[in-house]
Amino acid sequence: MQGLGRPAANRARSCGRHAVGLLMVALSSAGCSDGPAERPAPPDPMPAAFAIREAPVVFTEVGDSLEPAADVEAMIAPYRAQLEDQLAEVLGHAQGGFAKDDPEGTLDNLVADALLEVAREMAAGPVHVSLINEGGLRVPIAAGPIRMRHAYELLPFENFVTVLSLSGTQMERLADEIAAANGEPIAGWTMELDGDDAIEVRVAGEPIDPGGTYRLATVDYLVNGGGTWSVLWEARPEDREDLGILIRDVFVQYLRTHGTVTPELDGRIRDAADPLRPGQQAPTQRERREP
Amino acid sequence: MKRRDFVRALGLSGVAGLTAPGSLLGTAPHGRSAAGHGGAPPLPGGGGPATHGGAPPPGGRPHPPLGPLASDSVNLVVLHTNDTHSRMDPFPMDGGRFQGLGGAARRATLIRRIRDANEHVLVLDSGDIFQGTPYFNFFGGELEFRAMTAMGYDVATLGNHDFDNGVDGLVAMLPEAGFEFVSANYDVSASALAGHVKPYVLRDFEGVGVGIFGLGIAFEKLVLASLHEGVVYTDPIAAARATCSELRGLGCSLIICLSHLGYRYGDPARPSDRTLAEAVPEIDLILGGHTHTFLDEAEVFGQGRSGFTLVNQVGWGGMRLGRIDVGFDPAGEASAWAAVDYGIDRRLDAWRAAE
Repeated sequence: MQGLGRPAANRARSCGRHAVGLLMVALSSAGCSDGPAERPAPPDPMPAAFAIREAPVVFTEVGDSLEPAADVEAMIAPYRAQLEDQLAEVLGHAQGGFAKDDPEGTLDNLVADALLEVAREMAAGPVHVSLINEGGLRVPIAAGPIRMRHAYELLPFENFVTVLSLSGTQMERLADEIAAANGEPIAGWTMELDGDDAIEVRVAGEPIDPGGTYRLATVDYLVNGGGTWSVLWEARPEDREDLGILIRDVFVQYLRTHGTVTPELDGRIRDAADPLRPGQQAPTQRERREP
Repeated sequence: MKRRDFVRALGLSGVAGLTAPGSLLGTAPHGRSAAGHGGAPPLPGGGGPATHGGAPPPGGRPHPPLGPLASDSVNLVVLHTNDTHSRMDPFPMDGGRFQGLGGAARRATLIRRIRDANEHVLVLDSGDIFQGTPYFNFFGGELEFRAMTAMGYDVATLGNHDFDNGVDGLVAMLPEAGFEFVSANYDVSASALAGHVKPYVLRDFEGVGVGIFGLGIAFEKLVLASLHEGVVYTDPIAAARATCSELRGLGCSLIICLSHLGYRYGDPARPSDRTLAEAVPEIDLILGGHTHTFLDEAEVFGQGRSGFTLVNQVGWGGMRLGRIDVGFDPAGEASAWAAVDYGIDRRLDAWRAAE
C-alpha cells in the first residue's frame, strides 16, 4: 500500500529554459478496503475524491524563440505607435546620471526639488519643504536627453501632490522617521542622521520651531494611508491643500522649465559622522559646526 | 453513461466513505451552494452520494470501477501568469536583467500552441494585470484586457494594482475583458464591481468539475481607500475554507485558487500562499502572485489522504507561462476510490442547471 495519498514529488529537472517537476499522486484504497479498524483517525476533512495520476509542472520562458502572434501584435501596434509618438518628446537634458542613494541621492534631490518648486508655484499659501518616498522613484535617469518615456518610468503611479500644514513637533517626528529610513528625498530642509534620530533639523537654515507651522509638499498616497510615515496620516482635511497635479507632471513641468539638470549632492541629508565629500557644497549649519 | 454523470459532490462522499456515515456532512453548506448559483434548486440529499449511499460496507470492497471511467481519463492543462504589469512588449534590449523576455504576442503564440495540442486547457491570471508601463498610464488597461481576451484567458483575480485607477477605472475597462474575475475575500457587493467579480467560477471538462476562486491581499498601506471604494477585504483563510466547502459540495474534483496574497512573508501571521496551503489543504492548486516570485518548480504541501496542495508563481511581467497538467483517472490504482467517489449524484445536474 502506498502512503495514503501522500505525494511524492520529484525535484525539478532543469533543462535549459524549462524546469519540469513530476508529481505522482496515488490515492490509496487502503482506507476503503481494509475496514474501519485500519482507517486512520482523525479523518481528513476533505479527502480528494479523484486520483490525480500525475501533475507535471512546467514553466516556459517567453522569449524570442516564440514568434509573436500576428493578430495580437496587430492589436498592440496602434497603441504602441501612439505611445512612442508621445513618449519620445524630449523634456530636458541630464548633464549626468541621476540615481537613488542613501542618505542622499542625486535622483532623490532632483524629484524633491521639482516637487518643492512646482508646489510653491501652484499652492495658495507658502510651501516650506518637500518630501516624497524614495520607493516611489522607479528607475534612474541616465545622462542625455530626458524623454517623456523616462518621466513615466520614473514616476509611473497616479499620485497627486498635496501640501500639508504640520506643526514643528510633527516636523521633528517626521524627520526622525526619515532618519529611520536612512534618508528620503527632501528639499527645503536639512538634517543630519544620528542613528535612527534626526539632529540639526533646519528649514531654510533655521532650527525647527516646535510651536511653528510648516507647509510640506508631498504626494497624496503618503497622506491617505500609504507608505509608513504615520505623521502624514494625522492631517485633518483643513490641514491639507490638494494641488490637483500628478507628481509625474510636476517632474515634466520642472524639466520643461529648467531644460538642463545637473546631478548634485548638497549635504541636505547626511550622516552626522561623515565628513563632507569633495566638491560638495557645504551647508551653512555644517560651516558653523566646523572648528 | 456519460462521464459527467459520475461527477458529484466528491469530497463529501469521500468523507462518508471513510468514517461513520454522515459524520462530517453537517459541515458542508449545501444550501449556500445552490444559492450561490443563481437560484438553482437546493441540492438534493444531505451530502451522501445518491447512488452509492456514502460509506462502503465496513470491511467490504467499495463499488468496482465503472466501465466508462476505467477506459479513459481526462487531462487538463492549467496555464497561468501573475503580475504581468502592463508588459505588452518584451523587456527592452537595454542590458537589463530581463531584456528580451516576455511580450504579449509571444505569449499568445505559446498559449495557442498548447491549446492546439490539448483538448482541455485553462488559462488563468493571479492579478496585477495593470500598472508598470505607459500602456496603462495612457490607455487605462484597455489593451491589457483586450490582449488577454485574444489569448484566451478564462479567469483572473484582482491584484492591488488593478485598483490603481480606482474601482471606476477598473469597471470602465471590464467591457474589454472577455474573461471572468473571481475574488472570494473581496466583498464587492457594495461597489461598482458588484456583479462583475464572483467568488468563484466553475468549469466542466467532460464531467470533471473544476472550481476556480480568487483571493486578494489586504488593502491597508497598499491601496488607498478612495481607490477601492466599496470593496471590503475579508480574511482570506476564512473565505478560502468556506469557498472550498462550497465547491466540494458542488461536485468539484479540482479546486484552484488564484491568489494575490504573496508567496511568503517574514511575519508568519500575514496570510500568504504558504500559510494558505497549510491552513486550507482542500485547495489543490494555489497559483500565486504579488511577490513576483520566480518558482522554478511548484512547492508541494500535503498530508494525509486529502492529497496535496501545489503552490506556484511565475515571477512577473509575462516572462514565464506556468503550466500544470492534471490527469483525472478514476481507474488504475485508485479504482476503488474512483468507484466510490465518482458515484452518480443528481447534485451535478443541479449544478449544471445553474450554470
